[in-house]
Amino acid sequence: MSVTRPRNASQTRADILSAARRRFGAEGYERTTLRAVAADVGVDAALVIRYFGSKQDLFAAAADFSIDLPDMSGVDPDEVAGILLPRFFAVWEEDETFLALLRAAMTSPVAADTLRRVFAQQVAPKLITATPDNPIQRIGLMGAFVIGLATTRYVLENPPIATLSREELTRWAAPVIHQLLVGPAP
Amino acid sequence: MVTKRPRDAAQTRADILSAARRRFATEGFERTTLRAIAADVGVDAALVIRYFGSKQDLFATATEFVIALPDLTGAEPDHIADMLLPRYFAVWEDDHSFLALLRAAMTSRVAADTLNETLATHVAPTLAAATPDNQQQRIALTDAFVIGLAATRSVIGDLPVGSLSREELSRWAAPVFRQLLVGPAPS
Repeated sequence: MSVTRPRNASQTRADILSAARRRFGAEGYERTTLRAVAADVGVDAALVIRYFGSKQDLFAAAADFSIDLPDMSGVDPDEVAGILLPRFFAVWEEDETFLALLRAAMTSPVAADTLRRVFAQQVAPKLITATPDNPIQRIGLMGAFVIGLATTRYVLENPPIATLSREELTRWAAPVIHQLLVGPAP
Repeated sequence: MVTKRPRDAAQTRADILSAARRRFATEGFERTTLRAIAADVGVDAALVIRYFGSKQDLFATATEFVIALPDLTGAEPDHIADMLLPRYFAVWEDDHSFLALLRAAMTSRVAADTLNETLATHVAPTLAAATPDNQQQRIALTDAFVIGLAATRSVIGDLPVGSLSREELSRWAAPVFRQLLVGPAPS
């Protein structure tokens, strides 16, 4: 084995992380092995362990992504959906980590914990700034709706929703987001 | 091998189906083997094949769930959520077949297609009876909302929506069902 220079080490780390995201995304948490991730990159599993620790640690590192939601305080209620939906599309379509996490969260308690942490730390505090009352109910159903859209459109690829254009989906999702976050309490 | 009496055969079938649901839910469709399911129950793989046929057949039987939705023709818009949600709760919370299918569908094309097919044949026609226009959009987003509620309440767990009572959830879900199924088409 040759000694790798620092620059190669950081490239290898990056390669391992993207291989891990692909594996976790396609196969879920339980079925992904460190050995398979290592093989994808052409390194030994021991190297993956040296860089990242256990599979759980690797997953946490691979799933360490940020959702860039703005503070919604003082935003015109009619603009809430229009501000949020493009951010959601960005997470769903441009960051394979989220779908990896979502797939894995349905079968793995570790992945479910990570998803809950992302929701609690990055999503809920921003959404709450838009809500006039009943934050638990509003944020809870909003989270369910967003996870449902991502699951049916990108994971199940259910034809009726997967074939809608972004514009069409935005048009139909906007009144729901409006109702849940800022609409009258039922 | 001892000859099993009919009562044991029924128990064995039930045991095989539960073992199959566990395996398909945790390992997905592709990775699950009839041999592993048979081993979980302590029987031979040949017996599993005799009872259920191929892995695909066993998967279909183990994840077949019944969703009995009411006729929504002429339903009062404000009552639609109350008509639908108790049926959905029964599937999410009491039906292990559905949860196994949803879990398996997250990583398996075969399972996802099975779930999509069920939505198309058993759910869409019922919802369609309520919709005045834009059937595809209305049904697609309603299914997304329902699958999202099932996933966050019954599969992922410990999210804020899981802390709501059924009544509280129904109250907040009602305007969403009304908007998606019968509300004005968004401009």
